[in-house]
Amino acid sequence: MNALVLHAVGDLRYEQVPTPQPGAGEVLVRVAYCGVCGSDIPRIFVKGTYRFPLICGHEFAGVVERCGEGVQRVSPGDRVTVFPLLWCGRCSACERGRYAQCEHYDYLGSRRDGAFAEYVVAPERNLLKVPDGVSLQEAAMTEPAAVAYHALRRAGGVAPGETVAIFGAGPIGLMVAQWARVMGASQIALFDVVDEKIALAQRLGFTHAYHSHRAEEIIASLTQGKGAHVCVEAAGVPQTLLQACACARSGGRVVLLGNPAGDATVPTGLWSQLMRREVNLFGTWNSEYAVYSEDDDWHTALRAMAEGWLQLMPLVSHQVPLSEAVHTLHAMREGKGFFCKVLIQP
Amino acid sequence: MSETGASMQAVRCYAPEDYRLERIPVPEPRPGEVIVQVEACGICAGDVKCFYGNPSIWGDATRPRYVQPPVVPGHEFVGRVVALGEGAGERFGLKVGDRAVAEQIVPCGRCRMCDRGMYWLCRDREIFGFREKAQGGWAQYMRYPANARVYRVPDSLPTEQAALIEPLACSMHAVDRGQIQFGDVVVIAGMGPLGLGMVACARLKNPGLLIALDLRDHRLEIAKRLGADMVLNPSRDDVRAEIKRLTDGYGCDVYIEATGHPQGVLLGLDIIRKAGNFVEFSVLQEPVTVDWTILGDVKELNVYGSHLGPYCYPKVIDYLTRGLLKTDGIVTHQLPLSDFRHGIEMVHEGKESIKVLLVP
Repeated sequence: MNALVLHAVGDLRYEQVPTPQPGAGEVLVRVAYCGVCGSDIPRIFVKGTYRFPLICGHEFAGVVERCGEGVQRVSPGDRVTVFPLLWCGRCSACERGRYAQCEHYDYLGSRRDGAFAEYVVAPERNLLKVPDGVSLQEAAMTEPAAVAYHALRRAGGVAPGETVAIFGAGPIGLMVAQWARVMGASQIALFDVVDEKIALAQRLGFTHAYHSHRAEEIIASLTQGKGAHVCVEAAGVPQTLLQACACARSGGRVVLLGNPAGDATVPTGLWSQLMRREVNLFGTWNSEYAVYSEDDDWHTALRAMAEGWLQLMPLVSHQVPLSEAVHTLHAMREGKGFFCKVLIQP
Repeated sequence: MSETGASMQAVRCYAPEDYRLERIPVPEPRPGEVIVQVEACGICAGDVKCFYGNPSIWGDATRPRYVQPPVVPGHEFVGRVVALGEGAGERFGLKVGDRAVAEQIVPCGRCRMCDRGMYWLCRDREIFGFREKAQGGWAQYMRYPANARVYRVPDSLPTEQAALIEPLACSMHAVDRGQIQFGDVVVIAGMGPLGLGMVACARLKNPGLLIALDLRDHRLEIAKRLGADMVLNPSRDDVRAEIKRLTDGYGCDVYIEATGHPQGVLLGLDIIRKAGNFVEFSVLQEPVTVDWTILGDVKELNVYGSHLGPYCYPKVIDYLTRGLLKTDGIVTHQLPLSDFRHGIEMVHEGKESIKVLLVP
């Protein structure tokens, strides 16, 4: 099959590799679309994967090609998306169904071969069927949609009437905004430094989308100086972390969602305000997935797509064939042009 | 040691009041299983209810039958490992000769509740001593199935404590459900083995005042020994007036109901303060009739159910081993298997006995 193989940091090649074979309890999935995650760029060009050579890509959907021995829940032809984290099932986190906190996990696309390829193998229990009416492009965005939902759930969700401020209007930030709207937020503000992202947010109906330098002033005017109930840091930038903390009201919630890009220095005054205002800080990581339940982040994200609560297709800025993806990934790294969600099509 | 073809003494339940002492084959270990020689196994109120044909166990017009006779009763056991199936030793950290206990529930691991780690509420659960696949501990040997939750027990614990791990785990969970805060006035009603265990566990939370209720003074005496600050006997004391006096008229902060009698529920709803935590643990003898308004409009109560002892076995073993959890006086009798009928009658009457153990 054809695949994008990472041989060393920055050494990404489009080449032929053997098609993987599903073992017992595993399924071979023909990849329809695989999204490029913000984390894939540093993974490919800066940090590297856990081993080489390796195929990246963990946000994907496709069609079941072949089932290994003992597989019962899916059959060839089924449209599926895949929870890319392979949990051990033997640690205290797994016992409570908190698979993303597994102490001995494996991962498609960073620790073992992922979906920047024509085919990928995954355990049966990691597969979810894609509901009718949800396209495979949308289903390939289940992972970021689940991550976005999980971030708000970590903060106890959003109560109707609350104000939510989101710092960073990339694909995840825009998904957080959509979830906040579904949950009944009365005011949703988005901040970014890229004009195209601000414009996209406005096209999605988020009229309070502004340049980040005005964040504190805008939030103050939207909330009579009280601050937002929920602030989501979705950029991973030191300044936005400080803004998110500064914009939270007394008793408010701050969610740390963006992967950090550098050290942040918290000014004494802000530090003190976080204490005086009893602000709650929530870390969020990955998303919650369940095999036998349907109220987890993944099933909920797919249901939200089927019900039309999320509009994901406007987030897709590029669809590129696998054969041209090396070029696109380099362009993303160099910041040549505007990218929102990029889908690779094997 | 278990040997192929060996037989053992066991009590088997065939029907209400038809329990027989028999010789049956010693179980053989299959992959993932543990075989133990039973050291002791308690008689639980649930075992007594099963013996006398309680419909919650034997079924009626609205409920299916849960018990699968013939079955060896007993879920409050501790034993010594005599054989290990493939992989069981590594999985549970056990070797032959170790002492081990298994939780009373064998969860399926494949339902929605198990998926979320809420294994004690498993849809397709097997409870030891009631089910064909989970034969109990009123026998010389027993099998811990591959899905059982098994823990090693230190040799230092005396038998009368090791056999209490199961009821103490249930007591600990009920106390946890009550979310006791420093300064709280806590009332625990019903000083059976479980209620006494709750007193011992609640003592460790250091509430403001820990009060035990029972109709029998000898049980209240043990409650004092286990850490109750005050005991009241509703047949003699005016509990309502006393709680009112002690709490400036507010009522107690936490009430844990472990009497098994509707009066225990009614009293609790009466003496608990507004927005208090009411924990229901009992298997009640009959339906309770109460003005339900008290939960909402009158007191805005938090009512917490409590079932089994999830995630408590390791804590109970640890606390017992470190001597933090008192149990003196809970085990009153140890009988040979052949006296099982006498033991059931003693627990049923409850006059002198508290916890009765069968020692095979």
